[in-house]
Amino acid sequence: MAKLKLKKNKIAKRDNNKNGYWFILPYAIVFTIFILIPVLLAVALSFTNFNAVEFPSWVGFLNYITVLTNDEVFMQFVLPNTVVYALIVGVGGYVLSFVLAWALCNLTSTVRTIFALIIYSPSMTVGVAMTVVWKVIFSGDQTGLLNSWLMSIGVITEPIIWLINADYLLPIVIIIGLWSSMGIGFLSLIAGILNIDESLYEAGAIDGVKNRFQEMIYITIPSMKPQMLFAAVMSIVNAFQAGTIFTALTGNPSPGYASQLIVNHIEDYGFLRYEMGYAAALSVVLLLIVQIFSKIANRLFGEKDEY
Amino acid sequence: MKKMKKHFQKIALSLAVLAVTFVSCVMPVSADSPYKTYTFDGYGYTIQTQTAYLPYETLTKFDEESLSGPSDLHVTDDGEIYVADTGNARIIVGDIEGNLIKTIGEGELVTPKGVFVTKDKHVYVADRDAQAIFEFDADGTLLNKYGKPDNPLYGETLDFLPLKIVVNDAGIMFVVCESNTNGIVEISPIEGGTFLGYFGTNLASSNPLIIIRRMLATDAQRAKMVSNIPSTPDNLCIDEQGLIYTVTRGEEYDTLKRLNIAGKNVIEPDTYDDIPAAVAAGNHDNVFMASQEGYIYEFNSEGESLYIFGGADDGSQRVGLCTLVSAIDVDAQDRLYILDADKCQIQIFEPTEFTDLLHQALNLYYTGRYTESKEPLEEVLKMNSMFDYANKAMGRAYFQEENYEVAREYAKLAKDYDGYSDASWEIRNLWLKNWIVPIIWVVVIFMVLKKLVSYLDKKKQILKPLRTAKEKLGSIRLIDELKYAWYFMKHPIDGCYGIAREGRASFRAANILVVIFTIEYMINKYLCGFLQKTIREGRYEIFTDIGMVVIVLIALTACNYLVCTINDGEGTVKKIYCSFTYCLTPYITFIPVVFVLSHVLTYNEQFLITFMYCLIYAWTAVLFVLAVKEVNNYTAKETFKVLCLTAFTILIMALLIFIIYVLWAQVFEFIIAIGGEVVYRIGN
Repeated sequence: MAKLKLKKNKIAKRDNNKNGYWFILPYAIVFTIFILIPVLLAVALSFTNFNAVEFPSWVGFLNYITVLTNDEVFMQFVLPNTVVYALIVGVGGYVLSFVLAWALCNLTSTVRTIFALIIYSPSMTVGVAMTVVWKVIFSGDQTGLLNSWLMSIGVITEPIIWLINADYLLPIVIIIGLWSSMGIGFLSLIAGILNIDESLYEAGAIDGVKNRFQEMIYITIPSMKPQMLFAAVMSIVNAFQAGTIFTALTGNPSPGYASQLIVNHIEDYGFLRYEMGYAAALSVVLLLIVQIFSKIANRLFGEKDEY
Repeated sequence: MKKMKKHFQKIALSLAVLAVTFVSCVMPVSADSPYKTYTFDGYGYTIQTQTAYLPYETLTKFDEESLSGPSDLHVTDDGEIYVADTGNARIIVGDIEGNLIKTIGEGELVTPKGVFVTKDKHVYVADRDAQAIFEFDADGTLLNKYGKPDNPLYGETLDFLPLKIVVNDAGIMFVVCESNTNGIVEISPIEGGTFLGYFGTNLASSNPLIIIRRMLATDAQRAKMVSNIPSTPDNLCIDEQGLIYTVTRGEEYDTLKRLNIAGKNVIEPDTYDDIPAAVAAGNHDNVFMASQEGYIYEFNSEGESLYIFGGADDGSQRVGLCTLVSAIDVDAQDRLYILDADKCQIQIFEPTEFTDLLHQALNLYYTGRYTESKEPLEEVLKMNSMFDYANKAMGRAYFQEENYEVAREYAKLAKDYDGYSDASWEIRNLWLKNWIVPIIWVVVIFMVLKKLVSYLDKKKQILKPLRTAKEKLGSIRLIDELKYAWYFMKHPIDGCYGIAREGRASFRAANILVVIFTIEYMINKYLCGFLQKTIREGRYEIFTDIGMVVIVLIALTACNYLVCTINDGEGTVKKIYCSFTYCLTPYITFIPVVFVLSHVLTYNEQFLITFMYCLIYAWTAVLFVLAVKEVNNYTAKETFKVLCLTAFTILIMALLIFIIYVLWAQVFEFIIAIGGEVVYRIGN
């Protein structure tokens, strides 16, 4: 720490911060226009009543109060669904991507690249195209893959209408979420594992590391803490922001709100009902939730001096 | 939540003996009935309640015509009793006074097994040996005779042996046939009987093992397996809405089903009988089921049991007990008619005032007149305040009136968890509506204050005394040891190293942790929110709990130590004990959160608590395994071995203690006996 401070002071003394600002300017401009201003606008809009046609009228905290007290769909279905989804897909997807990344790193480089591409592809192509695959699997009649398979082994006697039946919607959505959760975090984990100095493993072997598991616990994980933290945050954020694929699969709103996630809810209010102010308030709530969970992840995974 | 409460009469009776001891003091003395009436309390235990039905009359013959091996009975709304008098090959019609009105089908019927009378007094008879269904009009003239359906879908080789029959308003017959496992035969009267299909088929019982076995077997192997055949329904009845109830013997559960128009079961009764014989739909959306032994169950339309009464006649010939029930029906005055095939008699029960009130409330409640239903319910509760069903209905009625506080009270009394959850949700929502703005302000002010303080602290160091105090506190050895638990939880491997090699923990700190754990465990067990409570309201087992914690900890430590010392472990008693107690940190950390949540969350957010418990237990388990591994410096394989051995040792130790206890008990008994003998001799 002390060293760092010293360096900082030196830079300050040299007084060439200006150049730094020039360097950052192009990015800053783009960031401001395309991210910062929209976010601020959304926050501002969340305090208004805006139907996308008339000029927004100021309503204060009304939207937020409505979210918490009057929107029963939000409190009874959307919030529980989202938290369950995020906890399972966030944590499960994280563990899964670490295990897969670790497994991949034991392969030779060509094979690894191919497999990494295959595993990464669902999150690249996560759009509507992929729902076709799942629609075939979860088709509600007896020709649907899952139904046909279950019936042939005798678990069920008549086809289950998977994508309409409220009992199965959330589990299905969670499965699809897990399948497509190998995103950017997964890549960063691969990079992290590959970056570890080989000599550490050699040193470990000399010091008595006996198997791969020990290698993973004592060397791999401690040496890639930053990537682990990054992947954790990414997986939480992704889990909370999932939802578009399910609109294509189950419709919006989904039957009985069984798989309604917060993003679907925002879509519902923003682009079906055109209550932009309320939708903006919902997205601010989503932002806060993601912020809270990221903080928790930081507390759990981050070392005090690493971020 | 799937209720899988299964109660047999025998359990019911034995429990009831216990229940009687404490219930009898609040129960008004019941009128003289040869049986007791039971109901279920919210926890699924049987408790005794007021007599619901009293024996009213026993009919053994109509005028001079007596019955011979009767097998079915039907009572019309105007009080005519139709009995399938199987032994005499006729249908006998009488009234409640015992007067004979007429006989039907003499000379035509062979073995009438089932009888049904429609609203326009057409009499349908299921005759097994004639292999046909007879339809008579009100005067007793034969209108139609339906034989075996010639539709190939019926099954060419299958016999048509009708046993029981019901007919719906459209004239469609539902027939239960002997040894026809396909289900209820549905016959339309058009064109002299058109087979419509099978209805309400029972499914063959199946379990994962069978499925896996069948999945792996080849076709030839499958052919050799014992074929898995569903049971045939035994009896059926039809209610006002045209829905059909069936009872089936030989199934573990689902012995009573209510079938909708598609033949799907829509109820899940909270109690089952092994050998149900007959079923009858009541006038108040209720249903009666009689077991062959003579127990009579009354359910509401959702399958919640209201009463269980009656019983088997063990030869005492008391009025009201039966030996072999074959049919049950209800008349317009809610009187129950039980046909006893063995005694050849009809036993009639009449409802008590208590039951009448309950039926009245049921009726009002199910027609949606909640406010009106409260009045009879209150009367019911005055007579028996522990009658859970009434409490539940009361709670639901108040809920419909949006009086959530009272609804919640009643739901709590009735152990109606779903009702409690719904009412709590509404109460919380109202509270939020009132308080959300102040809460937002408080949060905002708090955040501003926090920023202000940290700003001032940066400039003027106003928090310095606090910080130094904290540091001072942290430097106290005991506090440091306790704080180490937090580090241990987050870094189990380093944490174990600290305990095993650096002496970061002590017995003192470990014991404090155990005490905190025990206190939290008990507070959470006894004072948590109603929905999360796993123990009966008002029951405390504090000493058992403390004993359990102490015994489990001692057993674990001792056995693990014993096993480790002979397996090259490096742990001492202190290290092992400390690391085990430090493993409890996740529980100690998160249970307060769970406790608070349990008071504010409803079933809607239940998953949060479930998830927290998963987290706590998984974390603790991981810590425990790592503690064993690291403290003793084992490899994974050795750890696994030692864990298995520890479990085995604990088992042996428990066995040993038990044997020693028994032996010592013998010794004490012996000494006391000698003492007694000596006193006796000297006294003499």
